Amino acid sequence: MSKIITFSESAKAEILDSFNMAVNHETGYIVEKNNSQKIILSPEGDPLEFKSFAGIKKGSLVFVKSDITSLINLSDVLQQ
Amino acid sequence: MVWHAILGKLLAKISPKVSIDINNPIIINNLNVHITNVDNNQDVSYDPETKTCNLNLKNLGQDSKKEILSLDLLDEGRILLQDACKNTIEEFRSQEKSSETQERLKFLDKKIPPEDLNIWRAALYLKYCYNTKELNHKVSIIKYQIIQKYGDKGKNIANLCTAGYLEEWLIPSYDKLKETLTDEDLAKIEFGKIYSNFVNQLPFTIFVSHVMTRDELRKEILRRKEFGIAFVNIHAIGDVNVLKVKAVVVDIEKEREHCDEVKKHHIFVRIYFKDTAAAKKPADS
Repeated sequence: MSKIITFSESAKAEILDSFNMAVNHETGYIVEKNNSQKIILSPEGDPLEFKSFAGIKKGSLVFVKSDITSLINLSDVLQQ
Repeated sequence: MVWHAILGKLLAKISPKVSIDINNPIIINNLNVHITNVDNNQDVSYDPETKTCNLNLKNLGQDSKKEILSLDLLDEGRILLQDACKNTIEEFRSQEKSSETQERLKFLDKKIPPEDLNIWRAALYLKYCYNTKELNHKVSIIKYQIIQKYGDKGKNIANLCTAGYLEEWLIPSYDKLKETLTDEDLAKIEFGKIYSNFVNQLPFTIFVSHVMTRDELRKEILRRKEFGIAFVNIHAIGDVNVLKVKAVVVDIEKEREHCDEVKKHHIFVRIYFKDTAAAKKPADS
């Protein structure tokens, strides 16, 4: 099976919800469902907005951002 | 239950209809999985052409949904990635694999600060999008992302790369240094200094943005003149910016000789400073 399981924009909110994340609708940032003050960071340390959410990988749970630098880093990790 | 088994269970529901052999490891190994959440009457479907199993969260039962979107999904190195981002990674990889890009990255490697290499990788992808009609719509967002991440240096590298300064100026400058100094290590050290000044200061290049006013453009031109260089190159894209450049060039006409190349929506102007230390005839520059 392909290592990459894709999802469409339509499934974004459901996926985040399943991994116990929510969106702070005032700020647009992704936060923990049980702690709305805890903003989720990308592996590069950037606060992650819902619109910039690209995906999830393990380690423990890593939330990927959709900007080009994050995708280049992810591409490098996937090729290792 | 491991994720393969969960998926197998869902596929079993449709396997008689689409003749997918879920026990065949070749089929399963080549399977793509795509998750949606849309209004239609399907929960699980299979596209044999793309070998993709589509799972629609909207129509999956709560239990199936919970099983599919579990931590097991991320086992065995699997990742969940938005389809558009997967496409970007595939485009990026294909562009980066080309001999042209490989040649440029090989040139940059160990000659520039390591932290700059990823900026150039992103900028080369930006240039590829700029030169590929179907990807033109991505140019402004990728440029914005580079600037967001790397600030002024990112902006400078993105502009320099798109305008061809890597091939037309940086690589020839290094070749010239290597030829003059004969020692490759020394050439790398000297090139490092030139490179640093080049990408941080843009000593002989101005990229006109939509937020730059005429007055700011004039000041930028005069600032370059103070560097003692022979000329400054001005690049602008878009009707408003082209008009801005034309107006400023007319304003400072008495101080310069210039040549320009005006196309429909972009302009390139080179202004030659007459009275700076490095002033040369155009043919020498």
